[in-house]
Amino acid sequence: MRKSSTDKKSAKKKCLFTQSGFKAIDYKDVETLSQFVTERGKILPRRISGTSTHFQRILTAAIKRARFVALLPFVAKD
Amino acid sequence: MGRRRLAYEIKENREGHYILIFFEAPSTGLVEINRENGFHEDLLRSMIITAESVPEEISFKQLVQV
Repeated sequence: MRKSSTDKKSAKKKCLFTQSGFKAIDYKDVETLSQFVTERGKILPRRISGTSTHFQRILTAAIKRARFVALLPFVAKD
Repeated sequence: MGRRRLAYEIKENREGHYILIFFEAPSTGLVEINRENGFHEDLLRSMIITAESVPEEISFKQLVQV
């Protein structure tokens, strides 16, 4: 028996940023950014979030900037 | 941009005020700014980045108050 995948967004395969016409990703936009990190604060891989290569790169940079200014955690333990 | 709870403690502070400044400066000046910022004890952290675009009207979402 195969384990059924428990992906958060297994249904969606589309890049949210491409779909909604983003040009840039703002590191100050915590609401958007936090959708692409795990509870532990890790950046979600493309294969799970479905983000396009282009936006994953921009997103990663934005998340790292947000981390530096303490808008997002480097590590979050609950 | 307002006061906000920090995602992690910086110098034993749990909250901080965020300030955003758009400016133009020669690259040599940035070294000076970074050095100068280190002297301010109330300034927990600063980040200088290249603006991809300068908004004509500066507006921002107010960061959540705590």
